[in-house]
Amino acid sequence: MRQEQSLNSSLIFKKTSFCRKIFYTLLLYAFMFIVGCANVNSQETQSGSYAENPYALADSLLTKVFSVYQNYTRDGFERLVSQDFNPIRSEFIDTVEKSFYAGNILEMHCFTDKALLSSDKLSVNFKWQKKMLPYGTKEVALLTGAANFVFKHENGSWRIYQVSGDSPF
Amino acid sequence: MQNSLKVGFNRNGAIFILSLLSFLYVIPAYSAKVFCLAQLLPSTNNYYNSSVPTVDPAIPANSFSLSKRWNDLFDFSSYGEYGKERSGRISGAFSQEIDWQNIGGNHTKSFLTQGMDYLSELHVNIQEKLWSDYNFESRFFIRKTDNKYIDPRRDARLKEFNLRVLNSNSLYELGNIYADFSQFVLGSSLEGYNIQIAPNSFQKYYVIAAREHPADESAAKFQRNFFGGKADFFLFKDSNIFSNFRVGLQGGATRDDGATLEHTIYTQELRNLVGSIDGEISFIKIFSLQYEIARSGYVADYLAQSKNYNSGTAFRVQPALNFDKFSVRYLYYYVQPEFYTNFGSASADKRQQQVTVDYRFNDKADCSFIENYYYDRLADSLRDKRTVNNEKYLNFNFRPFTSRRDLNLRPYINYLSTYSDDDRNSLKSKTKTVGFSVNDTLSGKTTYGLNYEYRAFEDGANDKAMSEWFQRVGVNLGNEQQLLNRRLYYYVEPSMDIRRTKTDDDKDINFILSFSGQYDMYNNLITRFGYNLQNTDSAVPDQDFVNNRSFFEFDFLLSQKRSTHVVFRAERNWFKYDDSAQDYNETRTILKFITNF
Repeated sequence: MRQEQSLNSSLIFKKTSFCRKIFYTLLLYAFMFIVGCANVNSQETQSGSYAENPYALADSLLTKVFSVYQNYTRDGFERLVSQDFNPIRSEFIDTVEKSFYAGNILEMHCFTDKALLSSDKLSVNFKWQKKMLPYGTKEVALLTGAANFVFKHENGSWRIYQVSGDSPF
Repeated sequence: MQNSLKVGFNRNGAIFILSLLSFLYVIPAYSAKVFCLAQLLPSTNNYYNSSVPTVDPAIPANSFSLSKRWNDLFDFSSYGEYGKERSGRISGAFSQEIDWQNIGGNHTKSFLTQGMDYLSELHVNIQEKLWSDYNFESRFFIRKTDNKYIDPRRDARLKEFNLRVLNSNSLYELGNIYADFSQFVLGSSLEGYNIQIAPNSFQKYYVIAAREHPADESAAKFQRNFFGGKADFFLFKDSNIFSNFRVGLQGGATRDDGATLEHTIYTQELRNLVGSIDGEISFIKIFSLQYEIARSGYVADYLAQSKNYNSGTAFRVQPALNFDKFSVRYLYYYVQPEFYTNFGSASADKRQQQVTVDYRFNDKADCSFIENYYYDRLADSLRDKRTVNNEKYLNFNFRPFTSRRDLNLRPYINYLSTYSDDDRNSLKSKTKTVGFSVNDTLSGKTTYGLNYEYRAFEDGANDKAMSEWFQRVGVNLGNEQQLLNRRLYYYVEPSMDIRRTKTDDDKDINFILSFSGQYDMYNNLITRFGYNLQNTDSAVPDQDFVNNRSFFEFDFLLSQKRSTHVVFRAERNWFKYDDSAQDYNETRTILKFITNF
């Protein structure tokens, strides 16, 4: 009973907290409205789809990376990795290659949590699932993790620039 | 629990209030200055070109009344038609998905859960023109799901929140940000404040105050904060010698906030300080240089009696020579074992030298060669042996026919040699990867290709027990044609892998067949289908398996303008192993609604 009360009050508090956040957000927008009524010479706001929804870009890049990885060739994956990859590019590609040749990859899925776009970089936080049958074992392995990929825009393409967290490779 | 929520609320509330105050005081004070500078100086630093285009001087001064702003903002009917006279808008995307899943056989081998799963996502973008050339932009993303793999919590979650006021020379940002100073100091996704100001084309300043994550009681982690600043100076702007001469000074402090959790024997209060000088020097012709030198201080647990303070240096320099047909780039990378950067990126205890040479023979052929040599166990390292890696990569790119530029042949070879300086040279190995790919397009409607890769891993230690050899070959064919006056596209890709090991005379043989396609049944109805077969004949007894996966999808387009779709999809996955205790099958139907607004 006491636990239930505590849970209820916790839920009420969460609701109140959420409402207050919404209130402050609306207050901020109202403020922006008011100050924006001054005489202005505004520049155009951006209408590029990726700037508005970097999640679409993030999803397509992750899909491409996992697709190339599941049908790995050294040359194919090399082309996805930025020449400025840090810390060490070839060490990363060797790790990916070892991981691919370690077993049969049955499935890979990813779910984007956050996609942040700056002038030439896209940071993507995502969760991933990987199902594989490593060579020499009898058990199908179900692996999950959360990783961060940073893609860099260079020569007209987005390439992997940095990998952190639980690498899916 | 309530207390922690209260703390969380107070902090969030404070962030909102502070942001409000910061906009109240900072922007009006600064806007006039920027406006004047904008008149005097050509804006060459359009740093935010991904989000804001350059000012069009032809646009006359506008005055937006409050009612026009209100109408423009909530005018959803004119979706996709945003003229220059529009003062602001709200746009976004909404999707809702219902999955029904059924699992047979061994449930533990499936990522799915029996029954129904729901997923709702809302992306909202708000844009508003402000005074002078300032814009206000906001973005947030809310997700609600009961799929534990997507999110462990079932309530509606604010996954991303961002507010920004910006013009071509300054940015004031609050919320989720990607903070980026330099490789060794900062490149990370954070929550907090980001201010960037470029008073003129010669200098730019950055200030960041943010956190990586809030306190986590279950993981015994304090809230981790970052405070840092950066100054970029662009020298010799009008020089006839340099096209770019940037010098950057940056520093950042990472600090766990010990007040956010009760101290226990498991909690540790990290302190990390990193400062660096970096830059680029590009001559008008031929030569360019990138460099960074950084110094860090690090205490893993500031509360410990023995604080064990570490400090280290990191350095990288990358000169490059560029000619018409030939370019060469050298990288020297050196990071001491004691160097630590929490929000930057560095491979500690590593020295690397890399040379990259690109050569273009003519329009039909070019090649690239990389020599990479790196090792660890530098002075003061705690490692018990040194691992040395020497890698060479060579690839060619041929387009032999001028009339058929899509015909492309790419052979490549990679050679990696690894060894260690311990008595048994326990890491000694050689990895050779050789392959090629051919791809071509016929009359713009048919693509085809062939790829082959051979990989040999030769274990130089352990009596070569880990040695293995792979051969992989695959072909692909894609074709688009008209069937009953409707577009049909299909793609088929069979491939085969053969693996041989030192310890087994038999081979692993994997056969994979992928087939997918799309048929436009009507203008507003598209069908998609796919089938994937994975069949393995294993060298080890009782380890053969067959995996069949297939799907069929109807995609109804309800509104072209808003890209509104209703998608119905059915999936079937059937895994059969020699050991039948591993067998499982999955059936999944998905109903999804997607629209932009």
